[in-house]
Amino acid sequence: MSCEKEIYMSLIDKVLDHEASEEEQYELRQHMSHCDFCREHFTAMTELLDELREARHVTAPEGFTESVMSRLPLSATKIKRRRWFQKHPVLTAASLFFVLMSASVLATWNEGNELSVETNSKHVKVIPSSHLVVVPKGETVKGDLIVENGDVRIEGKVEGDVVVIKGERYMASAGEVTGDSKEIHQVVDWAWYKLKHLFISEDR
Amino acid sequence: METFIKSLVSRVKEGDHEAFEGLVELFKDKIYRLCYRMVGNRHEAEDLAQETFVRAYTKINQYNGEYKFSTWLYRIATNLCIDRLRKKKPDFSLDAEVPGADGATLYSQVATAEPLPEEAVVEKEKHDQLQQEIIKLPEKYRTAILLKYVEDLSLEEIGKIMDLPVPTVKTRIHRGREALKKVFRMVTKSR
Ligand SMILES: [Zn+2]
Repeated sequence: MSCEKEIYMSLIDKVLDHEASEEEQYELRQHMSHCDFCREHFTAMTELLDELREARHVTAPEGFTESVMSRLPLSATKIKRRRWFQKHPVLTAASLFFVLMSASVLATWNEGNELSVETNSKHVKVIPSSHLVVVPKGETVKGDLIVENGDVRIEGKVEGDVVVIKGERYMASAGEVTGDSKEIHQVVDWAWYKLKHLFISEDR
Repeated sequence: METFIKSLVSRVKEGDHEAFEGLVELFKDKIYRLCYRMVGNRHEAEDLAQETFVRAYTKINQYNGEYKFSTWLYRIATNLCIDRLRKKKPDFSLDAEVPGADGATLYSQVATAEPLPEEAVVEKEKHDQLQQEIIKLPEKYRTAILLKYVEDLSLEEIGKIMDLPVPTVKTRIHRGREALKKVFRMVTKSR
């Protein structure tokens, strides 16, 4: 069994490569409605190409990037990493994108509800039951204060940065923060913050 | 995206290897996939894909932007894969032409080629069988078929990667496809 008209073979190729016009597609369909050979050929080719496209699901194995990086002739990674981060906010935004792409980041953002407080100071008052952290009046907290899943009330002074993740920051009139102060409500900001934190703490 | 890739490349050229990490992240799946389809073995594919990136890193100053960065990477990868395949099959004649549009000679080559025992036992799925058939294709057809249908590249891009004029690329895709179709039909019908 074969088709007497050679032309349909090249027409089938054209259709499969999405190069055929509407008219040509119509012409082929008409022909295939009474030519078993071409219809079978077309079906087999379509199935074959679909199978080939299936191959797109193959992805590089876990740890691939790390392995490549470890094979490169490198030196002084950490110092460079930090400089790179500071110098290239745009590229860091791209890294942020990769961080965000990982499902674990989103899961962590959605799951974590525990109040967590990061500080070097003993003057910070933590009230877990009401998810509240207080910098009492007259006290000075030296260093950064990072609070996750809770509110912060600043009545005294913080000589450093204040970061509130998934919480509000209230400043009393006497309250003072010498460094940066910010609230993080969005997963994007949060991932950004985590990323920055990761780079910087790695250097210390 | 292209602008972003360009900026990463120029950072790497200035000695910033962290920017290279971004490039690896961007292209690792494509390159690994191509290597896997070329050599048909995951371990070897991983090794070849990693080697591709290591070469790209060490030769980054030779990349002059004449091609897209991805095209340049694909070139490195296909060359490495072909080198590896040639070492494995020293008697395989690359220049053997396949006469006739019906692909008869190619077909008989495909049909008599040795199956890969390791893969044949482990993987039974249809697309894995197809993978087997891809592996048996002479590499010039294989490369063209993979770049076209798996990586979805244009004929012009494939031409740049393979250093071939577009009409030749077209012929190779056509013949490779015909040969694959025949074995693929046998596979599906024998079930
Ligand atoms: Zn017909």
